Amino acid sequence: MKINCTIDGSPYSIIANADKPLNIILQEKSDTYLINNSCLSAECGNCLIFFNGICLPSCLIPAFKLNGAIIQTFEGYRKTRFYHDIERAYAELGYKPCKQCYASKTLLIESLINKLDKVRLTYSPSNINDNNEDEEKNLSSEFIHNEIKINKCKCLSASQIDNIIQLAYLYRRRRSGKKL
Amino acid sequence: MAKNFNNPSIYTPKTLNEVVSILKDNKNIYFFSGGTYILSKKNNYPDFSNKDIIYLGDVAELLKINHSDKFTEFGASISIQKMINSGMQTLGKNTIGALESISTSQIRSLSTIGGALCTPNKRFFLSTILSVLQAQAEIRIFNKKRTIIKFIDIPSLYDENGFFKYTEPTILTKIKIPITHTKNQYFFNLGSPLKELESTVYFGFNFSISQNNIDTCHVCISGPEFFFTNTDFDNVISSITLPLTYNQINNLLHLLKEKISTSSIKISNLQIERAVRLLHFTLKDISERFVSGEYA
Repeated sequence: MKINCTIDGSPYSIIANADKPLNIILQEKSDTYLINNSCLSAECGNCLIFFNGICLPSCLIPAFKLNGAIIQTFEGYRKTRFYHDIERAYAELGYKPCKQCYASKTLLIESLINKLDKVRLTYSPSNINDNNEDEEKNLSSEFIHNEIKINKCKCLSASQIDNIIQLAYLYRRRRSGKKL
Repeated sequence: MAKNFNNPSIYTPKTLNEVVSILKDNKNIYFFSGGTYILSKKNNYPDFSNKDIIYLGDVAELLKINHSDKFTEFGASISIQKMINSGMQTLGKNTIGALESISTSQIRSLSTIGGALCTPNKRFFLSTILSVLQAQAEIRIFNKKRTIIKFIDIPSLYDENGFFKYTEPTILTKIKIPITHTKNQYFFNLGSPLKELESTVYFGFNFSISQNNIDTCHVCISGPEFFFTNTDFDNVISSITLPLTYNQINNLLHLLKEKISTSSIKISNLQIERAVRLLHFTLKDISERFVSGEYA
């Protein structure tokens, strides 16, 4: 079947089998695509991409769902200014994901930063008790622990990822000139 | 490879009537909803079965959510994440917590209610949760001549080994969850259904209290390859006066072990042990909460 979609901002027209997973399409399409398809069955979580703005494993998206979709891979994401916030946080804190999962974990961190932004935007102090005010303003460690389960690489702990998220979020807010 | 390898036709019906007409014309076909199970199987691509695909994610009837005073209805193509988001007020904290323990939000936003309930040979945590909540499923069975529509309880969908019972083309169109007391539920999800087949256990316990007694109780213990509910066992717990003594709890644990071992389900010793300990924790916790006056 013929598929028209946008990958990293460029329109693509691909001919592929209807049940072909996106990760294989991406590998065949691009020579610079940074993806590790080590399992091909949603086990490793190393093939994360942004699919219509949602961070998903590309091995779970079949070709027939791609028509009109906007896909952003790490290759496209690293050219954006958002990546530099996370990169700065890696350098500042002194730890970063290993080579194997760098692309996926960075995209996962980006999606968690977006979630943190939503949590803080919807935060209203009048509805919350004083005791758990800090908890409500942040993503809980349980939530982060659950979210990073999608990537099986253990190179970073949940608390380290939390630190990266907090710092990258701080840089992002400073850059955009908004108060925390 | 090229000889047996074809490009499957993909059907994307917009209504259930279109699904019926596609099923009449095609025999060699399989349903595709979220695709998380189908695509997570090893060697899922290339597929040499030469089956065509019906994608149910665009069927409007399967995407409806209906809230009423007595129950909430969810269409079968709604993702589990959407079910969590829209059921925050009606399903209760414990059920939402249980639903959130299913994989990660990325997978939950892909996997659908219908897909999780109707996978032919594997059970997931969602069926246990809905079973103890006394949810009902509306299914449509497509015979040669007509379509049969009926509401059935979730445990009736499966046999003892967790296999989906219906072999004829069947679509689960929606589920109906009654609104009950939302605090009196316990859910546990231990293990991974895809990797740890012989150690994964899902446990669900739902009860109501009237005065000092447990009034009604529903227990469901399942795993990827078994599904256990027992009305006799539910009735025994339903007539118990709180607080439970040490002996009463012990007797119930022995009774559960006996019921599981006399049934013909294929369950490992580790799964039995986990199920018994989860029941022990649950009964003890109910007693403690009762004594502390939480159910007053």
